[in-house]
Amino acid sequence: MGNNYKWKMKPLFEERMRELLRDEGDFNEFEKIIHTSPLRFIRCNTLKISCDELFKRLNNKWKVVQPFRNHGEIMLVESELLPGELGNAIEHLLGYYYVQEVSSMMSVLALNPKPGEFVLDLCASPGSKTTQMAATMKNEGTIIANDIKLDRIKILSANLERCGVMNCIAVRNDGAGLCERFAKQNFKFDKILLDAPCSGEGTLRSSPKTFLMWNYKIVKKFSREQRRLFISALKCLKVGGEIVYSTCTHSPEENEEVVDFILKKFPVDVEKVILPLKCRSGVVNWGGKNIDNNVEKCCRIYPQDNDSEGFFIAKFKLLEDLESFRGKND
Amino acid sequence: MIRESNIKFIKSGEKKRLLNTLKEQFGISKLKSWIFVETGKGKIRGFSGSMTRDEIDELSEIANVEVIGLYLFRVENNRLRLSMDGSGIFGESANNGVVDIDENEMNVWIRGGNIERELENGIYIIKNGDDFLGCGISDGKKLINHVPKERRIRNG
Repeated sequence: MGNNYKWKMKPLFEERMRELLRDEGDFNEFEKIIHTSPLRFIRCNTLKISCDELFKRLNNKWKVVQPFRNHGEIMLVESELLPGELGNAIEHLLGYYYVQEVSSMMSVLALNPKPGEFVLDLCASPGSKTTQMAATMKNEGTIIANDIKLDRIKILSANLERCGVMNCIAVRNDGAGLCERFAKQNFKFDKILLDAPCSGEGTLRSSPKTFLMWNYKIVKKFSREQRRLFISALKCLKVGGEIVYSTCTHSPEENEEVVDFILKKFPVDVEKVILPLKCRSGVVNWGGKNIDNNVEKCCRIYPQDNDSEGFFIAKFKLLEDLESFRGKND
Repeated sequence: MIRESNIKFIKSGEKKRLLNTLKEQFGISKLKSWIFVETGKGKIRGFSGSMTRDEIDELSEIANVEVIGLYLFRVENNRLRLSMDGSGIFGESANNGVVDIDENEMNVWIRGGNIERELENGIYIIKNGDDFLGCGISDGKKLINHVPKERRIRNG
């Protein structure tokens, strides 16, 4: 190729990405964009300020646009900024906006939590999606926001405070264990967001160290962990309830293969998600294995399609009580 | 962040006393039907969610509850000092104890500086236009800053 990029894809990673992006031009676009800095997206926190008001206010100092007609809360700062300027602005300190990459906003748009619902955010820190859900829910209903480590809970808590989130209880537990206890005590949620820990292949633009840290063992490790979390999460979802599974990675082992595993074992339907970003269908064949065709309803967000980070989103509905399903299938 | 072991819910009598103090200090005459909890050092948090006290208690038996709702104010010597976000929530309905600061003063305040103002001793809500910026304590000559470090503008 002869490109002089600062970071280099590891050979196996490159091989896998070429397998996903078979068109040479498409792969080249991908390779080009992952070596550029991400755009500066922010999300208006409608718990504290209206989109119109914030838009006017920010345009007094920066050039800001609202790229999506039906999502005025999503704003793009086009001005050149000093390092840290977005986080050090008074509007940020007052919680009027959250600095959040546009693709990461899509999981909550897919889940669409409503005021009054009982929602679980299983891997919540640093809280971008929790605060987005609280805004969508207008601080009504309840969000249980979980994370596993105290230092991550501290970051989550600081963001919940800054954004004026009042309908959330932050808890610190292993996600799978927590869901098992919820199920035992009959705590059942209307909606669950499982934004799972992952190998982070989609975050190369904002976190180029992933170029160095990536390895296949990590992909396999996360794939196992994602399945464990997903199985447990389903146990505390109401029948008819919805769960969004998302990752910021491209590897099918952490995306479609997890979806395929769940579809084979549990009474769930995958739902087609309509998002304001360009989505590609999930892959139905990987590593010589066929994957359930329903994964085509999942959404792959590639950086070269939207000038964003990479993401994967799948939405499910639980069709039947798991106990009675097990009884019938034993 | 405050650990919420053995959750201490504010009972209705105490809630009435808090409302009276809010009324006395800032002219705020209504508290929403939120659940209030005390989390140590007199800090009061408000929870607007749909879970009942019993359900929250039940939750605390199966999960390590770290934070409930939002930090609203702190009780100090029988007076209430609103948090940065509490001032935003209660500020609009406050009709006394509010100090409007100008742009220059705001630039000092949001960096953690005190503001020279001759006011009666007491706690005041600080605002600049539509922005509520927490509370300051007046010693008669100046308003002493209480903006938490993580919410201040850092000088670059």
